[in-house]
Amino acid sequence: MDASEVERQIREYIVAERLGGDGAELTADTPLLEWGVLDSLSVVELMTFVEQRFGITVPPEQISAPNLQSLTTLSALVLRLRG
Amino acid sequence: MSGLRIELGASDADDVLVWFPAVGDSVRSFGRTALLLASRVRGLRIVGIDPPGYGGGAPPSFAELYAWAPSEVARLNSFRHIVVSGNSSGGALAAAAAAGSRTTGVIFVCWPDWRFGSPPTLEELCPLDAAGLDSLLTRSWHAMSIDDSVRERWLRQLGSPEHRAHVASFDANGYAALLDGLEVPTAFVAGESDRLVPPAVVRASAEARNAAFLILPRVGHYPQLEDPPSLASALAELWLGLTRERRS
Repeated sequence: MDASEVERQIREYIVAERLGGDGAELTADTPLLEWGVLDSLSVVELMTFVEQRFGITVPPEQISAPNLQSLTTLSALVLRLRG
Repeated sequence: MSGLRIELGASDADDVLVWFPAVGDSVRSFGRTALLLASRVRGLRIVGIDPPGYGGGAPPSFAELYAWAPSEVARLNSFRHIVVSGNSSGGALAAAAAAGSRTTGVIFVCWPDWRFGSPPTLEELCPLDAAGLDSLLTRSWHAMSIDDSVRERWLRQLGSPEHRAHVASFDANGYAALLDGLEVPTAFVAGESDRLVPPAVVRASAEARNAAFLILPRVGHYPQLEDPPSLASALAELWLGLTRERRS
């Protein structure tokens, strides 16, 4: 699975769960935390989703602002943890 | 001088909608609504602006922000239509912006003309303990969905001397004078479950100005947090109404 596919699946999840299914303006670089697309509760739910979807465990120390900054950084995190 | 800024939508747009957040809040909470609005209204630029001290720090007095808001909006003078909006006390900043710069209209979200009701007190808006925060949240949310860390942050921020001084600087008479001076069309949005700024007070404010009025179901005082899709739809509809006459 490449970065674009990981990004597509995470994007699909965020659009459905956080944007009511309408994500035409959500880009790879949209600041997810800074713009409140993700908050503390939704981060927990998102981490559960990525662990189940991609078969990984996200260590607590990796749930950090730099890794949650955008779709690009999130998909990079998933790919790193998949090895 | 301002803090966080959200800008999205068409960079070559003719029209812009400007958003100001409430006391104790940040434009950060408007991000989801802004994304939805930008995808639903093609050709609209959306700009959310944190006033100085919002989102962290010490906000100045409302009088100072009444001078700040029009200067921020004046920077957008290249747009043909400028609609300003704000949630709660951000509505007062929107009114100040409209009174002091070229705008097409104002959309007040969960903020009325206080001559039709009683504004919340300093003690209600700036709780000093958990019980006070519970009371505020119960009155302002349809169904709370915030965790303990967010509660602690709100209590710390809203109860700080800087925020209490900022809230205490709100002058209902000065705000009423701003409203009386507005020469552009206005529109109002209320949250059905808002017990901080009751929908009946918002409705009376709209009727007195012969303004458009929308009420959002299952929403309290913070529709941008509680139901971004509904608020985006409401803003799109009201923006169209406010600018339609100018377009034809």
